[in-house]
Amino acid sequence: MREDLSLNYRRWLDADQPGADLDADRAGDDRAGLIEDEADAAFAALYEACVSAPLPSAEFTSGTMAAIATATAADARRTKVVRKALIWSGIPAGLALAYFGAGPLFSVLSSAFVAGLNLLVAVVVWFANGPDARSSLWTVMTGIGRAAAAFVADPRVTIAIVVFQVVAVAALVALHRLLGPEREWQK
Amino acid sequence: MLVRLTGDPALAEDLAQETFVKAFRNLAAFDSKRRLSSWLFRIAHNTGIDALRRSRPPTIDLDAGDAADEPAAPGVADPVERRALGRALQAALARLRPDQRTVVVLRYESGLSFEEIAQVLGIPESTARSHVHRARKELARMMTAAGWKPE
Repeated sequence: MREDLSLNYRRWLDADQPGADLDADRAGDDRAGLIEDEADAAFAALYEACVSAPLPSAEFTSGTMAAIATATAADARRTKVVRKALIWSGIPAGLALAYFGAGPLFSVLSSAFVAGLNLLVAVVVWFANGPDARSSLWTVMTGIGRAAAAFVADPRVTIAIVVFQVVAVAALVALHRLLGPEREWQK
Repeated sequence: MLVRLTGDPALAEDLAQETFVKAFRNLAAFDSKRRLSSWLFRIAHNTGIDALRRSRPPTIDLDAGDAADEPAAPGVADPVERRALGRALQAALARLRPDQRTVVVLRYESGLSFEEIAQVLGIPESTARSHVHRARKELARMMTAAGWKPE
């Protein structure tokens, strides 16, 4: 075994000595691979025989379990607090949104309904008149475009879209907070 | 790995605990198709690197592997010499760059394959091979410079 140690040390240094790479490259890929394998195996055997892996202290396992328990309890407390905060702020916010948002929402929906109805009437009239009315597909597209632009340009609609986006972002943030901590290990 | 990376056993234990806490918290995100050990090593490596960035570089006992204290051209068959060789190797290891030290420990102390090392460090397998090769050559150079020549 002791002789093996000495032999492995020599094998490793011979394989990893300066210039061994160049000699191996000149000799070809196979030779370079063999030398690399030789150095890897010799160093692995030497390392195993000479270097002992450091052992953790006797308290490591109990300390780790305690740290995990503490972290779990802290996570649970944090989740509880966040959930309470979301519920107690979410209910009034939802009520306020329903109270103040219902009017504009119905207004926007009725505008959309009227615009859709107008569009439908225009399409029906176009089909009823047929080719005699000299209206083309382009005329219909223009009509649709104008109707859509008028709908979107309405300030109430713009405000409603912004409000919906804010509510959606707030809901996403709340969900993210509820679903757990960031995955730090994926850095 | 963390002891070798930081050079401080107490700090390494704290980081290992931090590693297990992180792993426990993110257990749901673990992909069961991968090896648990590789996943843990990856978390440990990231934790160790973060700690190294936060703190000053570890102190290295340069005397441990110094040529002046070790016999030149030793016969490593002697158990005493073997221990001395082990100390010299560890001292040389401590003088490697952290990324080189990590690959040596992962390969030769933890026994990971090159593919697993690549997974842990998030690098291609060929790069992992190259890192190990360079680190080993650097160790050989240090050992030779310290007077540890084969019989």
